Amino acid sequence: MKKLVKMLALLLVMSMVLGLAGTAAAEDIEIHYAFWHGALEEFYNQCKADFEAAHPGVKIILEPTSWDEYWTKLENAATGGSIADVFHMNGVNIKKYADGGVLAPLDSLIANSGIDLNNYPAAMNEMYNFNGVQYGIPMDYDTIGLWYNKDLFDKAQISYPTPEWTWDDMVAAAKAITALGDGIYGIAANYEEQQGFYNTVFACDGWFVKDEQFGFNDENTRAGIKCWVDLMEAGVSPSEQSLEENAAYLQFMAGKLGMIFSGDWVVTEYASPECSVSGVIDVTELPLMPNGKRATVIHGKANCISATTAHPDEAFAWVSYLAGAEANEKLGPMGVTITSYLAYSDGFFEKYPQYNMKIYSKAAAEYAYVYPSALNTEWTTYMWEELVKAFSLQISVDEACSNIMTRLGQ
Amino acid sequence: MTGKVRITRQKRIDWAWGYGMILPLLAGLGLFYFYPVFRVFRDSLYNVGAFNRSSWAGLGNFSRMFQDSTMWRSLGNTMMYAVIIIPLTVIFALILAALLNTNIRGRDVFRVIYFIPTVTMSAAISMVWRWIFNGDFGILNHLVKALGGTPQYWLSSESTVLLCISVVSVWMGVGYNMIILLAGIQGISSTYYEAAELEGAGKIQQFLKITIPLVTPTLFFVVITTVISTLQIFDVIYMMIPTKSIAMTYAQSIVMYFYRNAFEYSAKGYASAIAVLLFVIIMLLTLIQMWFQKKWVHYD
Repeated sequence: MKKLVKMLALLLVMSMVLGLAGTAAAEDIEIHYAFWHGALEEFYNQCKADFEAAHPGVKIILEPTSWDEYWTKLENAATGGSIADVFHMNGVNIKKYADGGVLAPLDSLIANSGIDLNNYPAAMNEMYNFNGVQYGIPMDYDTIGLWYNKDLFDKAQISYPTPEWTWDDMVAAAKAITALGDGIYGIAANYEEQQGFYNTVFACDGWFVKDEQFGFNDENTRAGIKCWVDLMEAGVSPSEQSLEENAAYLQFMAGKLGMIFSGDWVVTEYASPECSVSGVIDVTELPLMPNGKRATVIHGKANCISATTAHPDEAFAWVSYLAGAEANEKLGPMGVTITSYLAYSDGFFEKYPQYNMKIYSKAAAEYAYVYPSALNTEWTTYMWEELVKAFSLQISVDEACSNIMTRLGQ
Repeated sequence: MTGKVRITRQKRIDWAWGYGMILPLLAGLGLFYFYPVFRVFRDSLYNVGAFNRSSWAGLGNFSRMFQDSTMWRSLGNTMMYAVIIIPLTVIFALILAALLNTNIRGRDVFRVIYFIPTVTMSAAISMVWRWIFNGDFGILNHLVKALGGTPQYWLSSESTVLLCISVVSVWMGVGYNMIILLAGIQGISSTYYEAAELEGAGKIQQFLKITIPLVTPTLFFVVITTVISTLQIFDVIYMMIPTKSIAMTYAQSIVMYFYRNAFEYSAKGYASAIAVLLFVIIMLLTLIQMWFQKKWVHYD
C-alpha cells in the first residue's frame, strides 16, 4: 500500500514538473483562435503564416470546430474560464456574450490602431456594438435577394423581375406562374426569418426589438408579416407543411418554384451540378414595398477578443490583421464568403459571373438593417410558435402577434 | 489479540486492493454520473442562466413548472407515447419471440432481421422513416394514393405526428425486447410442453398456459425497462421533427422539452426542475410495478 502511495505521489510530481517544463520551453506567446467555418480553414492557414512572419514571437493556434458544436463548446469554455483568446461571434449571440462579460471592449484598441470602421457596412458595426461599446470587428456578411426561374417566367409569358418591381408586381407574377399548374407554385411564402419576413418588416418600417422591448403590436411590423400570409391565402405558394418537409430552396432547385428569397450563401447550392435549374435562374433586388421602400436584413460573423485573455495586445494584433486590407485582399477572391471589408467584397461575386450577385453588396451598402437580437433569446421561440400558426392559416397575423406580446409579458 | 490485529491488517490490504481496482470505474461513474445527478438536484433550486451564472430560486422553478402549459402538454404527450408504445412493443416482442422459438425455416435470418433496428443508429433510422412519411415524395403517401385515400403531411400534422413517432419507436424497440424474451422462453423446461402435448393441449393453449406464465420474470424486466425508456423518449423526436416544425408542440416529449430549455433557451435551472419531476414520476411508476409484480409474476 505504501509503495502504491509512493508511486502515485511520484507520478503526480513528475507530471507537474513536466507541465512546468512544457510552459517554460514555449517562449512564444500563443494566441488561440476558435472558429466554425470549415471552408475558411485554408484562408486562416495562409493568414497564420503571414502573420507569424510579421510578428516574431507570436504563434497562432487555429481551433476549428463544426457549427453544430461551436456554441456549446464556446459557452462551456467561457463558463470554465478556458475560452480562446480570439473567436468567431454571430449576431444571435453577441448580446448574450457581451452582457455576460465574456468579451473585451475594443473601442480604445481600435482608436489607437489603423482600423477604420467605415470600411465595413454600418449595420454590421452596429450589430457588434452593445450599449455603445464595440465588441467585435465584422469579418463577413450576408444579405438577401430575389431569385427567379426564367424558364417558368417564359412559360407563363411574363417579363423577368427588375429592381423597379413592387411587391404587387411580384404577387401578380406568382399568380401567373401558379396558373401553369402541374404542382408548380409562384413563390415560397413559408415562415422564414432571415430569408423571409424580416426583410419585409423592415421595409414596411416595422421593428422587432429595441432595448428588450418588442414591436409586434406595431401596425407596420404586422403589415410586413401579413404580406406573406396573404400569399399563402392566395394559394401561390406550397403550404407551410409542404415547405417544412421539403425545404424551399430544394423545391426551387427542383424547378417547382418560380421565385424565392435567398441569401447569398445559397448560391453555392444554386450553382452546383445538383441544381437542375442552375442555367436558367438569376437574382435581383428584393421588391419595393407599398410605401416605396426596400430593405434587406444583414447578418455576419465578427472576430471578438476574450475579456480574460492574457495577451490582449497580441490578440488585437491578430484581429486587426484579419480585419485589414492584406487579409481581405486574399479572402475576397477565394469565393468562400463576402468580406465585410467593402472594398474587397466583390471578390466573392466574381466566382459566380453567371448571376447578378452584385445586388448583395448594393443591398448591404444602401438598405441593410441589423439582424434583430435580444438578451432574452426566448422571444424567437414565441415568435415562431405563434406566427407559424398564422402561416399555416390557422389564426390571423393580428391574433398571432398579440399572443406573442402576451407571452413576452408586454 | 495479536491474531485479531493481523486479520484486520490483511483485511485492510484486501480492501485497499479492492477499492484500488474499482477506482478507475468509480471515478468515471462519479464524474460523469453521480456528480451530474447531484448537480441536477442542486440546479433545480437555482436560476441558472448563460455561462452558469446562478442565483438561489428556492422552489421558484417548480412553481413555474406547474403553471407552464407547454410543460403539461409535453407531459401529456409523453403519457400518450407510453400508452401507445409500451403495450405494442411488449406484445409484438412476445409474439415474435414465441414464433422465432419454433422450428420455422430461416429462423436465424428472421432473428437477425428483427434485431437489426436495435443495432442501427437512431439517426439513420429516423432519416429513412422521414422519407417514408414525407408528405410530397414519401412512399407511404404513394401507397395511400394507390389505395384511394387522401395523402397527408404525416410529420407536420398535429393529428398524425405522435402516431408516426410511436410507430418508429415500436419498430426500434421490438428487436431488443424480443431477444430478451426469447432467452426467457428458451429457459422454460421442455418437459412442461411434452406433458401438455400428452394431455392434448394445442399450440395456442401451450403459449397461453405455459409460455406466458413461465416467462413472466423476463416479461417483468422487459416491461420495467420499456416503461423507463418510453418515458425518456427523445432521440426519434429530435431527429425526425425539426425544432421549427408546426407539429413540435404535438410531438414534444418531456425530455425534448427539457433539452430545449437546457440547451436552446439556456434555462438550465428550469430544465433541471423538469428532470427532477421526470425522475420522481419514473421512480413512482417503478415502485408501483415492483409492488404490483406479486400479483402476476411467477418465480417458480
